[in-house]
Amino acid sequence: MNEKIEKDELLNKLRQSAKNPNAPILSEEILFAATKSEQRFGPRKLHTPKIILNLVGGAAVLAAVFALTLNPSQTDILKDLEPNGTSGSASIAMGNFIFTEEELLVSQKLNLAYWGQKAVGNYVSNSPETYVDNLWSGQQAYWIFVVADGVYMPNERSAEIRNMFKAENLDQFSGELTKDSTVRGIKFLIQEQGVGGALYPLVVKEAQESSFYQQVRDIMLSDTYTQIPLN
Amino acid sequence: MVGSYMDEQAFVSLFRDHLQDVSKYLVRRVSANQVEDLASDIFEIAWRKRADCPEGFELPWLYRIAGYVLANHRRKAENRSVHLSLLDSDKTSPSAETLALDGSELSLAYQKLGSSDRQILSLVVFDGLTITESAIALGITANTASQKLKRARARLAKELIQLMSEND
Repeated sequence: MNEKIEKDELLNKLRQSAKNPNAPILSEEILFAATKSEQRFGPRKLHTPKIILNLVGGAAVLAAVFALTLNPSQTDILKDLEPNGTSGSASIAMGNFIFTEEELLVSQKLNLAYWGQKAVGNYVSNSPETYVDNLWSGQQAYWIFVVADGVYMPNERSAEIRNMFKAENLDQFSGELTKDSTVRGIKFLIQEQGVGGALYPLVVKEAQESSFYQQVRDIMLSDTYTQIPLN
Repeated sequence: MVGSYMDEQAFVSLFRDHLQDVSKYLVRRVSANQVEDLASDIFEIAWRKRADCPEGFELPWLYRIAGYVLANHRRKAENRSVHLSLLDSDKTSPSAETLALDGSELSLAYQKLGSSDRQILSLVVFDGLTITESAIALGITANTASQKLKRARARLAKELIQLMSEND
């Protein structure tokens, strides 16, 4: 602990209030198992994902969350663009999105985008490579976009977005995809339903004109969205 | 510097240096009989991702992986329809049950905090990380971690004062 914390009486008392945990002694077999684990990058398999067996009403197989974070001024832009007199439908302007968690936290608001963004960080414990295997095959999916004031689903063009992630595109643009959540870009979180909720995050990196990033972004800009009730 | 130094020998050292730290981290958050399985998952992922390991911050990097493994573990355990479960609070802070607090007013105040507050407090207070290390463990900037800690501490103090006034 750093000195600043050491001098904090309240935190010191809290530390003393916790009993010293009796942690199990772990064996080195864990090491051997770990170093024998294989990299899961490899040729994509064409098998049908197990999750297809979990279709509910022929609908959701995958849920994708696109965590966008906005600063307050950008949220205002979003609100300004909502069509008058419509309920639950809004055009989303995506001109100046900031995709970092830090920017959001500056606003001091723990909103949906905050949680969505945090969830993107779950990538480490999963295998984005597997996500690619599953997703590229174009199974039915819900693409849910989390923005500062709610959760939205694309009205019409989620198929187009999904098609962007098919094998041919991913092969072509593999250099523009990453698992590193610290990279700026469009962050997706793919969440399986019915099989334990495995997460398959992916970051489409910001890049040059005509990049994969630009293509995905353009499709998203041209879509309309319906807000999903959370209850 | 990130990761390129992490050859097999370095990984073995990492493992031996931090295995018990990871075990302690886990036993504060899950029951002891789950620790070995989760530790195994953590080191398997660490092995595969070792190129991402920031030199000098190996332990918080392991804690970061542990956080993700824990979050998934708890999510699976809850067996929920997870369509929007990611919007739920984080799942990596120690639960009151596993932390084994002493029952004092302060520990009760801690248990009343939200999981986000408990998360940063637990890393700094119980796991002994610095602000910078906690930031790495949480995947946020040091400045953000510092702000989170400040707010969590303020809420802890507020809860404590409230509990003390109720008991007077």
